[in-house]
Amino acid sequence: MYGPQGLVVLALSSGGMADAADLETFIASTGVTFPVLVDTTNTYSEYDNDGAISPYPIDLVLDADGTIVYLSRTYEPDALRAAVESVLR
Amino acid sequence: MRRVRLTLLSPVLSLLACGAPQEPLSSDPGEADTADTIDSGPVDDSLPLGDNLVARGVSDVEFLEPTATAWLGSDRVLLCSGTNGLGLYDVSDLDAPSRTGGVSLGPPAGFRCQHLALSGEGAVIATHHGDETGDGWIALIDASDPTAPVAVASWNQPGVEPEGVAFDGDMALVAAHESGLLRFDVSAGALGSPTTLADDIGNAYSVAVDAIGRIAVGTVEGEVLLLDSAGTTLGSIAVSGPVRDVEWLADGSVVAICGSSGLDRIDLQAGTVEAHADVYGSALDAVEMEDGSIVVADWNDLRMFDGETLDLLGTEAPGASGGPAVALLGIDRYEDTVFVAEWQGLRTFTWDPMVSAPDIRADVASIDLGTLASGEPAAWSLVLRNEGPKPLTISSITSSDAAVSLSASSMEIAAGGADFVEVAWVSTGGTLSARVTLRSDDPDEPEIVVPVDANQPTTGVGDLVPDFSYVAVNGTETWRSRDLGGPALLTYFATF
Repeated sequence: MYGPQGLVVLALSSGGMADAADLETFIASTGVTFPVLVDTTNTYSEYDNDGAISPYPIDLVLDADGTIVYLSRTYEPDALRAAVESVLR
Repeated sequence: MRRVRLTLLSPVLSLLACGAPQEPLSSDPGEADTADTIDSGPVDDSLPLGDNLVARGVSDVEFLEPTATAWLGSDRVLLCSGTNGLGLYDVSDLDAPSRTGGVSLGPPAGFRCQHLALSGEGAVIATHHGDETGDGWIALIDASDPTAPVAVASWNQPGVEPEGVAFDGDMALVAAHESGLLRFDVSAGALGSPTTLADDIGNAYSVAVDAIGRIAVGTVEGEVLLLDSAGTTLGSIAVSGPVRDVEWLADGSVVAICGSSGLDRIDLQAGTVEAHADVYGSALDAVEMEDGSIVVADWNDLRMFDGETLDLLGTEAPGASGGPAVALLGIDRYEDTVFVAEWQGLRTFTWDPMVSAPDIRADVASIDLGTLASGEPAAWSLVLRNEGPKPLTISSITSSDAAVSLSASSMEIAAGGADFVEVAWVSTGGTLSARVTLRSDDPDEPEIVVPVDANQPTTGVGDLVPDFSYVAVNGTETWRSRDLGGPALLTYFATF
């Protein structure tokens, strides 16, 4: 719904390319239409995590300059929507 | 079949996606309405059904007493019937194999088809017995067009009882009881007169040729002989009973299928029996699957054995979902599909070796030990689970960084069980970027790697997104953070 306003949506898999076939099977089963990319350089580990385990997922919202305006490891739809709308203004 | 286990998937991705529910495989429709009229022997219900052989379909009941089956290509399977000659089946829909025609062979009435063999050139040779006379009939079929095989030649001789058949290039080998091993040159599309390769080997019952031309012959007397391509006997070994079928395995050993006496794995070169397995009914035919396991048609059920030890892996009573199974006599396969000649027709199965395998799962994809002062210790218990139905052997657990200590270097985890390895590090004040590698006998994931980090610089709200370069799943497109061109929503997820 935010696509016409210029929002880029990307899904990033942290599993590397070794399981690309599995990943393609999964993508086909979900029917998603936005790009699904493979994190081959493990940038996932660079995000603030407060130690201990690194749970998935991470949701990030970036403004047009690439600055992170929202980062969450839990799904919070209201906060996520607010962050998206803030960068589209 | 590889499976995708998706866990911890971002709800964002889940909400944006519309997953299509998987349709279950159709159950065996079962066409066993005449089963109670057939003396089918006992059914062994004391063992659990095998999980990795999934019953798909059965043809109509119209073609009784098939004894052998052969995959021709182009979704066509030839079925050798005891009474009705050769039937051609369309298996493009594995759930509903259907007879599309047959091959007119020409043997006199009362001859029963015994065995089939298919050459790489599309030639099929079939042997027949006269019911009362013991005479034999051999037919050569041109199956270069799998959709329309035609008989091109035949051969018969009173008193010759042809049984097992095999191809060695353009040569067809026929095990013919007291007549020994007969060899036909079929290069010209005819049978001609055979050469007798060996007539002093007892009652030849079955024959197989390996990729380098070695010939294994099974006899009624319960021997398996090794012959060279000239027919010279190089060795022999006694096995458990009359050798109904003999198969070369991919590792160079031979399995002898000995009816109710079970099966023996033998090393013909060394002259040793390596393993034996009992069966419940009567083992008549077998195929080796790609993972090395052996599936045997054992009269009332299919039996799956470990190809090396002959340990029983499971059984599958094909009629369990649609009536009793009767007289499973012949078996063949193409890739992961198994075709079984049953008394009533053709049954199809799909093989899934992963179903009965151990299945490793680490509870996290990576470990971040956080930010630590110099000298400060940190540890994390990496929980490992075995989600498969067979015991899991983790043969090695290693770290790429010797400063990371591990509480175990290997472990066994029972089916459905869990254990853990403690990953520990004493901070030096610097960064840690190590990888813990686990190697196991999970055929789907023989190696998994868990990154272990500490004291890593972190990125959060207000920072520029790290410069990333991601590759599209199809591998043909690269995205860079600087190329996004506008606001973006990114979601990291993982499949396990």
